[in-house]
Amino acid sequence: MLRIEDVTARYSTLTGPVTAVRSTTFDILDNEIFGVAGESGCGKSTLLKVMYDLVQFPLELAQGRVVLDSPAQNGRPGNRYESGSIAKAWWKDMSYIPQAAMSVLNPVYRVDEQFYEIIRRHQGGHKKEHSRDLLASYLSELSLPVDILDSYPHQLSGGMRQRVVIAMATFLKPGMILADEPTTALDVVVQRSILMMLMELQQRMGNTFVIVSHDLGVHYQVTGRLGIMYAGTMVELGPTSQLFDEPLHPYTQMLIGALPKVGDHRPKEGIPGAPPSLRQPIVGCSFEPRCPQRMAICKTLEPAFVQVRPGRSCACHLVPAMKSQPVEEAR
Amino acid sequence: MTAHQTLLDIQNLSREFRIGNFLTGRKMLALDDVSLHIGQAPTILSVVGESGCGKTTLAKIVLRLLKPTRGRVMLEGQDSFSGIRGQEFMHRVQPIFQNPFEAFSSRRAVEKYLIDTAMAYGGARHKKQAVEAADKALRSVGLNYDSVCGKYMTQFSGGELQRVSIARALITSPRLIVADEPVAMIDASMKMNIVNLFKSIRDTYGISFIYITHDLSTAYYVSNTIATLYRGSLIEYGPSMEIMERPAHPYTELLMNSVPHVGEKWKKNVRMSEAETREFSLDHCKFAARCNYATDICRQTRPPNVRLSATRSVLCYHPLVAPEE
Repeated sequence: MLRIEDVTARYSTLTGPVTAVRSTTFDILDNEIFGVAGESGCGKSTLLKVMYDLVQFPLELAQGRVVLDSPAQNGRPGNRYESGSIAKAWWKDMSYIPQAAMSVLNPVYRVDEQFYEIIRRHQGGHKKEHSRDLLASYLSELSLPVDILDSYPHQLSGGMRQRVVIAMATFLKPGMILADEPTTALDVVVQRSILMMLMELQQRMGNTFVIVSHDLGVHYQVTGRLGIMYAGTMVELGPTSQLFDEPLHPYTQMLIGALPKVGDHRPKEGIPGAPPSLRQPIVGCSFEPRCPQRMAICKTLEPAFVQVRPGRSCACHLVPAMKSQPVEEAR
Repeated sequence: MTAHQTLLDIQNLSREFRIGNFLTGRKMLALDDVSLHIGQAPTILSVVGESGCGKTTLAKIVLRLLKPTRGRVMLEGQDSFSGIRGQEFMHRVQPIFQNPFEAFSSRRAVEKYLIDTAMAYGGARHKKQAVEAADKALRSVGLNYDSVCGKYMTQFSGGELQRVSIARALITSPRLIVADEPVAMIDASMKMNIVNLFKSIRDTYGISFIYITHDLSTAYYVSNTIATLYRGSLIEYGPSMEIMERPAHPYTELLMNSVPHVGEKWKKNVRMSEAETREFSLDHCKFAARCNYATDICRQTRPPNVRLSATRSVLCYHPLVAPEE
């Protein structure tokens, strides 16, 4: 389980700090596919970097922490890591598929060498011949052709490189895998086959995937729970199917309303206006200037991100918080 | 100028590229005998397909940025390469590119591009006229000259900047706008605004669009006709409603089923292609290796172009929709 506790992350720039993630708190459970959605510049990639503890200048963690509790599995004991020490969990307990993953492979090494390096660094002890057998059987499990091991990255298509990177990230069977826009810039057909591969992997290994994407269609197909980010913070979180059936936050409602559908020729409207600048402190609700249902209170008071239904949270003055009475919870 | 039946007539267009050097290189057919036409009535034609299917090559040839190997493009009855002068061509056909942040220089105020276009192709004689033309174009996309003047590309959001480039294209009052992946870089919340703009420009100004995209849901939403390309071949052509609801080519069906829809979940996986560059020059059906309906004949000879109705055609031996009698 990954707990994100009151995280605020900032980029320092010459013209002042940019707060990309603002006091965000939520949990990612074991054995689920968790999605993070939002438009560009909403802080979803930054949030993922903080989760992976890839916090380097100019990014800094101003407040809060991330706690990773990796369960005991595959003969490994359970472990607890915190922001600052999560790097120890890399590849073994938590791995990261970066944005544009097809261009992260080293162009001058063959694919098998790049796999051996991971094995050497994080598992150690294996002879190359032994590793080769392991690799070959793992790739055929994922129904990838084994001869890609002898290729250089430029000999593979973009979709194939993407699958190689996913295979690398999952090879040591980490409990938590973070993927930043894993299928953006790919065609729909390739996208579909990669997403199906991710779902299959998750089911087989029973671990947790966090998928960041701006494409709500991808989230609908793949994720079990979904968090919607806006202007650096979570505005709604809940089981994906419920979020699509009954969106609570006006931003989620408008996002889902703007989705074009095949077979539906009704005119669709985009959301007017643009998200606020993250350079200035945000007063009141960050969505207030674009919200059709805004009230007087929205201008002055930022709504808290609270539980509003069992398993669902939302940050909006229109949606009252769930009363935390034991009777209500039992229901 | 005499009136012509068609605005744009693409006749048997092919384009070859050479991969590798002149000794070891081989030819790749990026466009293979593509014929399309756009009538005089304002329309939006979507060209869809996966990356490397030849969409952008087609756009470049229509925009006169690339010469075809075979075939020709007729613009209102004149050959667009040999029959029209450059300035006259730019006056009639305008581009919108994929990434608005690459279309404008970061060191030049964006309104200068609008002024230049108005002076060079829009018929403005002095700066005042050019500013008026720019303001009129910007207003039709929901901006105005004063709000844009003096700003640089970095001060805009992607959606706004794409509007500016649409406004720039409108200045010459063209007959045709070629938009190559215009919403690929735009956020979901802004995408629909841009696409709606195309519809309203078509209806108000009577401008036709060639909308090149891999995003099938917006293609269906916005266009009148859809052309599907696969490995350089035009495999299906027809009205968008009919194609999307009842695709006739197995590849179009696969494309449709791969869009991550909200509403229906995927069940089974799809077959991937392995030898992409080889598929371009196959002399039988290029999709046969991945097709669920393929038979022996598909792996031997090139499928015929089957007319399904007056407005629909498909390149397939086993179309999923029966031809009308």
